Amino acid sequence: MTDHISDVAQEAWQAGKERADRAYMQRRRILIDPITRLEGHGKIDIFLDEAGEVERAYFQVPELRGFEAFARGRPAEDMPQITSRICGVCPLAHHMASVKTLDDLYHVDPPSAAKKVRELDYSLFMIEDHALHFYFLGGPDFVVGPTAPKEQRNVLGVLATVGVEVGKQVIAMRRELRDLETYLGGKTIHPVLGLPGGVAKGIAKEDLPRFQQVAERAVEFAKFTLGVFRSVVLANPDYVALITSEAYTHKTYYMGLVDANNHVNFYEGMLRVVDATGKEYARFRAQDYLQYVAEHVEPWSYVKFCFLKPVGWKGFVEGADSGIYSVAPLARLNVADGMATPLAQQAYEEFFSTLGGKPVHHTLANHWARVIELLYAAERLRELTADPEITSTDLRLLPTQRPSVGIGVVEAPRGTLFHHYETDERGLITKANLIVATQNNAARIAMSVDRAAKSLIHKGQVDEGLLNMVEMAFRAYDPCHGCATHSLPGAMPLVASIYDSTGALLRQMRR
Amino acid sequence: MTADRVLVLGVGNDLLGDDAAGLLVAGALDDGGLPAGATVEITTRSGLALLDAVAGFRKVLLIDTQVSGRTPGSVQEYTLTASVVRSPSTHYLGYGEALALGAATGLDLPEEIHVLAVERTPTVTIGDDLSDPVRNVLQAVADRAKAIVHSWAREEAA
Repeated sequence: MTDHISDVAQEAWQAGKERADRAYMQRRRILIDPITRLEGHGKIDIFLDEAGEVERAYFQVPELRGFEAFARGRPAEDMPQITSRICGVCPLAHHMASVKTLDDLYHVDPPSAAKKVRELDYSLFMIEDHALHFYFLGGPDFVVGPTAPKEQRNVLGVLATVGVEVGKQVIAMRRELRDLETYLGGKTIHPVLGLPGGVAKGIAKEDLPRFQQVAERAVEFAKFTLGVFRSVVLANPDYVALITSEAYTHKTYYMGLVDANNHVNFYEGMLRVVDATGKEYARFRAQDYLQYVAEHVEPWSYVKFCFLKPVGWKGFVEGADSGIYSVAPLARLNVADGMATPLAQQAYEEFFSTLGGKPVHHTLANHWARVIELLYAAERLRELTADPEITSTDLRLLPTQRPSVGIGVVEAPRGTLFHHYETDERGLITKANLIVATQNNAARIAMSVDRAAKSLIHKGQVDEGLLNMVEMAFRAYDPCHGCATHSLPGAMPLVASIYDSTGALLRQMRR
Repeated sequence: MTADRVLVLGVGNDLLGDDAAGLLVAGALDDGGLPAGATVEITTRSGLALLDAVAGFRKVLLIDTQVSGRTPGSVQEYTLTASVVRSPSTHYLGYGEALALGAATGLDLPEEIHVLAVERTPTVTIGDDLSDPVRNVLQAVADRAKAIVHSWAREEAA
C-alpha cells in the first residue's frame, strides 16, 4: 500500500514536473540584447516550442518616426543638411540622396564636373565606411572567428589576428579620407558640399596631387584588405562552410543601382532588380520607385517591410512568388553584370566562381562583397582624381524652374536609399518620404534571424557561440536602425513582448 | 590660469529631443565661463569620431545623454575607460571600444575622459522637443562642467 501511494505520488510528481517543464519551455525565451556594435537599439526574441525547438525568432528595433511631419513646411533646400543629421554614421549618404532629390525637384541637371566631385566625395565615404565595417564591425565575426571565445571577439581580437600595424594602417587611412571629405564638405558637423544643380566647392588644381596620393594608397589598402579576407576567411574551410550553409541562405530578389553597362554604381544610374535565378526582373528610374516598392506592416514591429509591389507580399517566404528583396553589397553584386574597374572586376569574377555562380544567396557573403566594393570605390576614386575635368570650376547650374516633385536615390553602404520630397511652388515641403537601406532589407533580415535561430538552436541547447551566430545573421546586412541616438554605456531600455499565434499580445516585460 | 589641451565635447542629435542635451550644454559653455584655452566642440557623429575629436587633448569632458533606467534629468559622472566589452552604446563602436582601439594603435589619447551623462527620455520621433526634466537640468550640467574644467586648469597651474 505504502509502495502504491509512493508510486502514485511519484507518478503525480513526475507528471507535475513534466507539466512544469513544458510550461517553462513554452515560456522559455532567449533574448539577445543589446544588439551590439550596431547603431540603434534592437533585440531579438526567440520563442521555443515544447520540444525546445525554435518556433519563431523576431528581430525588433525602434524605428525613427515623425520625419514627414518634421519636414513639412521647411524649405526643400534645407533637406540635405537636415537629413544628414538623421544618421550619425552615414550622413553623406543622406546628404547625397537629398541633393540628388533637389536636382530632380528643381529640374536641374548639374554640370558634369559637379557630378564627378560629388561622386569623388562619395567614393571617399564608401571606402571609409566599408573599411571600418570589415575590420571593426564585422571583423570580430569573421577575422577573429564566429566560434572564438567571446572575450576575443572584439576590436582587440581583430588587431591580435591581423596585427597592430594593420590596425594603425586602417586608422591612418580613415584619417586621410576624412581629411579630404572635410576639404570638400567643410569642417562642420555635417556636410555642406551639395547644392541643387551642383556643388559648393571643387578641387583646386594645386590640391589635386593630395587627392591622387590618397587614392593610390586607398587602392593598395583595398588590395591588401582583399588579401586579408582571402587569407583569414577563404583559407579557412570552416568559415566557407558557414558562409554557404543553409542557415544563412535565402533565395530572394535583389535590388541595386547600375550604370549604363549594368555595372555597380553607388552614385547614379538605374535601379535593377534580379530574381532568385539571377534573371532581370525590372530596370527602372528612381522616379518610378513607387511602382515597384511597397511596404508591409506587421503587428510585432514598427519597421515597415519593403517588398516588390508587382510581385506582392506573401509573408516571410522565399521564391519567385514572394516580393521580398534584398539590398546592400551582395545584392549590388548580384544585380550587376560586373564591376566598372579592373581589379574589382577580377575580384567579382573570383567571388562568383568560388560561390557557385550568380546569384549568390548566402547572406554572410555580404562581408566578401563589401571588400570587393571597397576595391571598386578606391579604384573609382583613383579614376576620378585622374579625370581632367575634376578641377573644373564649372560646378553649378542655377535652378530656374518651379519645384514640384523630387525623387533621388544613392547606394548607401548598407544599400539603396530613396528620398522623395514634394513641395509647393515656393519650394516648401508638403510631403516627404525616406526609404533607408535597412527598410529594404527588413523582411529578409527577419527571415535570416529566424532561419539562423532554427538551424542553430535545438532541444533548448543554446550556448553563447550559437547566439553569436544568430546575431551574425543580421550583422552581415549591417542594419542601421534608430540612427544617431547617443546612449552612453548603461543598461538599455528593454521591452520584451510575447505574442500568440493570432498576433495578440500575451505578456510584456520591461526593465 | 589656462586650460590648454582641455576639450569639452558635446555629443548628441539635435533632431531627437533630449538627445540634444550634450550639444546645448556645450554650446552654452562655448559662449563663456570656461578658463582661457579650453576648446569646445560638438559632434553628432558616432563611434570612431570620438577618436578624431579627443586625440591630442590632455583632458576631455564628454557631455552626452544616456538611457539607463534612471529618472530623466538625473546626471551620472564617471571616467571613461577603454573596454573590450561590447558596449551597449548605440554609437558605431561604443566609446569604450573606440578608446581601446585608439590606445592599441598608439593614438595620442587623453589621460582622462570625464563623462557627464544626462538621463534622457527614450525618443524615436524626429523633431521632438526637450522634455522638461532634461531642460531643467541643463544649467546645472553647464555649471558642473565649468567647475570640472576650472579644477583641471588649477591642477595644470599647480
